[in-house]
Amino acid sequence: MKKILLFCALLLLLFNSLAAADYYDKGSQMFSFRVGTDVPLFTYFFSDNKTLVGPGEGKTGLDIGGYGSISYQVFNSPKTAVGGEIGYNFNFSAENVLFTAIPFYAKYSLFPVQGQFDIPLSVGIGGAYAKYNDAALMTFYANVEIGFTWFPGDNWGFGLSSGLWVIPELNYYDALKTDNAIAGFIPVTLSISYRQ
Amino acid sequence: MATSCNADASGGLFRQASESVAQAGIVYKQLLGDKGNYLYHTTDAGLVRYDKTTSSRTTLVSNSVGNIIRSSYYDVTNDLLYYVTNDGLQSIKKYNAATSASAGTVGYVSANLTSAELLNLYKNGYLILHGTDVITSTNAFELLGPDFSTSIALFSGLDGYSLENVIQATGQESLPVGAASSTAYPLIVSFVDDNNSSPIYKHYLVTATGVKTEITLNKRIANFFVYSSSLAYILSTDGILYAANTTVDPITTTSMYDSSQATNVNGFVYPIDDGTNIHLITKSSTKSDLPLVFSFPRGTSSGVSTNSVRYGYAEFLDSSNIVDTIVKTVTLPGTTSVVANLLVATDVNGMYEISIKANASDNTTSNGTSSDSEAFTF
Repeated sequence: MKKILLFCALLLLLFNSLAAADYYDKGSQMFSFRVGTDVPLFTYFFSDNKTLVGPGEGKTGLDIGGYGSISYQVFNSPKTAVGGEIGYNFNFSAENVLFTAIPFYAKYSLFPVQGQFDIPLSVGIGGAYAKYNDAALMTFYANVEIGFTWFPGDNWGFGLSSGLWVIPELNYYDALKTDNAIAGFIPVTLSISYRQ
Repeated sequence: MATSCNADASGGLFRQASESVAQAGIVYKQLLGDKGNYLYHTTDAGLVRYDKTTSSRTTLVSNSVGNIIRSSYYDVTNDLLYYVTNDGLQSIKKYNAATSASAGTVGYVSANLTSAELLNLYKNGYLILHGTDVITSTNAFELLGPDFSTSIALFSGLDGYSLENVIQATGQESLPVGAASSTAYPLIVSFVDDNNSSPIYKHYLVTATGVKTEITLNKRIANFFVYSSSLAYILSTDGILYAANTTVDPITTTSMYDSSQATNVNGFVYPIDDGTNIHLITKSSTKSDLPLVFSFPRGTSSGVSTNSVRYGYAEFLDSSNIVDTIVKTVTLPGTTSVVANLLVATDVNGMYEISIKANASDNTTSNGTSSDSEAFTF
């Protein structure tokens, strides 16, 4: 317990030391291009009350895949920004069949640290089109992410981010209801951002 | 988006992904039989021998362009392999498994047909020929025994018909027909007339004594099994289970249950008898479909219930296309121990050894077991 409290205190001190005066103004904009990988973390089946963990055969069945996206945000306050992102994700299954997901979502970010270094904390909610084999559906999508971006100059920055995606599958056909599930993925992406 | 679509899916998206199995790197075609340390089978590579002492495979006869093995027969007694290819020649090729050498070709003789054309060779050594009946001068087909000359059944007067298929019950494909043998098992020979707005089917049950009887059923047949000397069960390719009264001529059929699940001709249809009920395990033509079990009281033509099975013996069958089966052992019904032990070959996912218990319709791990891919024994 003491160690956790100490860690939180150090984190707070770090944030305070990094955070100088607000860099962004209301109306500032940011475009980002992201590319990276995603790791299938879990699949939980409601009817079985069973959770499969990890990539690969016998687990989620999906291998580590790839992700790319573009996003746009506008600052509604010096510390927060709203916008959206659309991306493309793919993973191959153990039997080499392609799983694809196209998430599109609204994004809200908090920038407690900003300036030459940005540390955005983001939540996103929206939808995704997902397809695997003969199954295709439009479903919900949600995520939380944390990033780190370095701006060597005023405008262009290079970053790294990770987080957690959640994609549910809620079928209403009786024959498929026993397959209702929720899946989680961990993205690890590099980004190029332009701000103004 | 509160609930998703998936209108045409055979299973949930994440469920299908979670059940995916890596391809084994072997494309099985037929399981022929075993002798000693060797298991003979055909793959997309050709005629193959598997050695269980070294867990290695040897391709005895390789497929090549214009010379692809279509079907084969293993004469276990004489350790000889026979096969036909797509080379267009009307010959049966022979391979001596004992000496691991090609043994030339053999011909066939039909006393009942003129211009006899070889259509296919089956796992029990039987041939189906097509020609003209020497007596009636009508379009005819003939089933010859494994000596390639003894006539088992002649089907004549079939002007306008072509061979649809020869259907052999799952796991019984290597057994003789029409022979004085305690292990003989019937088969169904199906013909089709495609010259109309919709096809017309003619089926004949050829019994273990060589008697052929027409079956009244204008449907394409997927597979069947014989329950007794008076009753058989037939599954059509559109998923309807029929009871067939084999004491009358022609055989009459009664619809028992419509599963609406399509099954391929010669698809996997295997019965488990628990002493009270028959559990008929079937696998549809859709790879990701779960095995579907029809359960009904023994010897009846009604009272059918169905259940899809994912666990136990079906653990890997829900993501595989079954191409062939060998029955290793079958025990008497009425027990709760293992009833059947099978080798099940799939098209790209390898071969599994499955043990099925009397509670075959239970969707639990207690209904039996399955080995991992290629972890079979014989």
